[in-house]
Amino acid sequence: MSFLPKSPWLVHYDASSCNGCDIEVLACLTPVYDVERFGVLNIGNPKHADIFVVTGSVNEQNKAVIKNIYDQMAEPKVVVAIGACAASGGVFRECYNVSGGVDTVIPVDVYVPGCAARPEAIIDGVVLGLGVLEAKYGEKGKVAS
Amino acid sequence: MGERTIIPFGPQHPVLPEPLHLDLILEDEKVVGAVPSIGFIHRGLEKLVEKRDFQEMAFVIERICGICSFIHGQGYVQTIEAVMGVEIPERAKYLRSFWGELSRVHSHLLWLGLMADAFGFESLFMHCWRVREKVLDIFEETTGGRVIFSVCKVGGLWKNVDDDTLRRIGGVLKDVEKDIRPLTDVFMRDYTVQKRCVGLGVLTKDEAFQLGAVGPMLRASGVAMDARKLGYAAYGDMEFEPVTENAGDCQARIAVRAREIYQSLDIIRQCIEKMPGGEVAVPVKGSPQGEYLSRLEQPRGEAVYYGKGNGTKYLDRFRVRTPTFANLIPLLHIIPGCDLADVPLLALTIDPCISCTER
Amino acid sequence: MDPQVFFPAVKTEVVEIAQRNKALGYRFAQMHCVKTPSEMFIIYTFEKQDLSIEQYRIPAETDGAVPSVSGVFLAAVLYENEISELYGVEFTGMAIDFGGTLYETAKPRAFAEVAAPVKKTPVKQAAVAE
Repeated sequence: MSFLPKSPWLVHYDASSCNGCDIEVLACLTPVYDVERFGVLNIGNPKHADIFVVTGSVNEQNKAVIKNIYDQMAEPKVVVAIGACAASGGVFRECYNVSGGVDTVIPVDVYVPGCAARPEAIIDGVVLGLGVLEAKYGEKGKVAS
Repeated sequence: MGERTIIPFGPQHPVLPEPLHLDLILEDEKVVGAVPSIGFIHRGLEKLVEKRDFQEMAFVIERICGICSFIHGQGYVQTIEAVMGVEIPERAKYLRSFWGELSRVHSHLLWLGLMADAFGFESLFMHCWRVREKVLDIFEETTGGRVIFSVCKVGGLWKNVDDDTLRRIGGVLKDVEKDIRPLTDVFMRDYTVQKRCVGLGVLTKDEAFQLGAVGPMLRASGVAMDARKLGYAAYGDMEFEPVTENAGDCQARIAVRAREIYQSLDIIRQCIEKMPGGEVAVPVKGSPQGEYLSRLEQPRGEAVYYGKGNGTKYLDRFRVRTPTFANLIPLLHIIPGCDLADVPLLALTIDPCISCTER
Repeated sequence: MDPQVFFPAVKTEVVEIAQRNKALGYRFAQMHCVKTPSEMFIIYTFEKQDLSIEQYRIPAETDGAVPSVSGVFLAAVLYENEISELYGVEFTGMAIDFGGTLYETAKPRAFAEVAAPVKKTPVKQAAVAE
């Protein structure tokens, strides 16, 4: 068992989201759901983060930003797409400015459905992401014990 | 004369929940200008009227913004009901006001928390959001959703709430009010908060009116304009006056929003006491023909909704002018002259809802 | 619900209307463009402190030019940029001109084409397999 999934740090970015999923992500970090007691921090710096939490669909202006943040993160990294919009475009997939979900730009590891996704589902998704993170670390041939 | 540098602020920034890009022009550490770059959330959903019929469009309009979601839905159905000449039952009007005012409470608590986080007072941020969870529990109990409710439809509401539940909610809200008291006391009287916020981002009365500011941004400068006074939904029967302050700085805007929470709780109490009985929906036949422009008071300010129908079940046009769109020019007016460290505070003081602005 | 009155006007009168309303105590509330297969117009809304409004309807066309009112009301700048980017109407004399980069949409002038409404095909009832 490695130390990597013990205290994952998140970087959160709102692509064209309506904010519903974003305030639920923030609600996970505040009292009642409070994942900070497990060591999960919402850090603003992509170079310090393990998990990239994205909400919202992708439009023309967002593509460069999402790619930029993803490229700056260190391996191993996990991408969690939260909400129906991040998965496939949601209600807005037929809009002229929406090219689809986040997986049109970067590879996604975990999809959390919902509109807006509930905090319980988000925490579940992040925990699944931790398993993926550990698997990726193991693939590199290093398993810290 | 210092050197001029340009620093990009956003779109990904720890303090901003939404992507907003400002190119700040600095001379040493003082900001002398800001060039905004928006468009990160532009989805172009107003064009979806061509693909979704007028009843389904309500679900799309609700998802313009997750925080102001209910009142967007209410604005949409109210406009279409006016175009079609549909008169909804009294109980539906009162329930819409009830949920609308609860939306205002939750939105202001959210904003107060984010503002506290922006000036470094993290424990206050956590407390505000803790109290907000109780309001979200009420939403979940009555509508089934925490953030997006989908209760408004053309012709009334999808769901009813029985009187016993309403009475119990009234009791819960009394406890919520007791919980909020110490928090607003800190916002209005604490020395550190005042040191950060007094005198920052001053907008005079004339400037606020001429530049098109709406909502608490306008009322904190002394102009008493509140779209709820138009008397839509059940507001015609409620007794309240617009909350104003005179200083026009960040502290005044905090004070206006904090006092509006108590005003909303009072309006909810009046709603529950005066709630009439009856049905909550009427059947709607036919399709909208004609045009109408209505104005509602969102937590962030006055929102304008324009709908045009042509007799088929697809509308010609639905347009939403959100309050943050109107508040962007005043923001660009108050930024020059502040320090770099105060830019997040100023960006938050207009209560930005960029997803509303860009639709 | 109060009845809606839209005073008709032409684009050459816009600046004069704005100046007259400013003197009467109105401020610029919003403006937007509507395009249907049969007509296209811009609606200007002015608002007073007592919440009363006055609205004007100006016919317009894509690639046509309309004088800008941002010299009278700076607040109009964002609305005019949005309309010019989405509908292709040109506003002459804007105080701040984003030059079509306000939204940078994937499809330029997206609102200028008005599509015929999608006909919903009736859902065929699936035969229940025994």
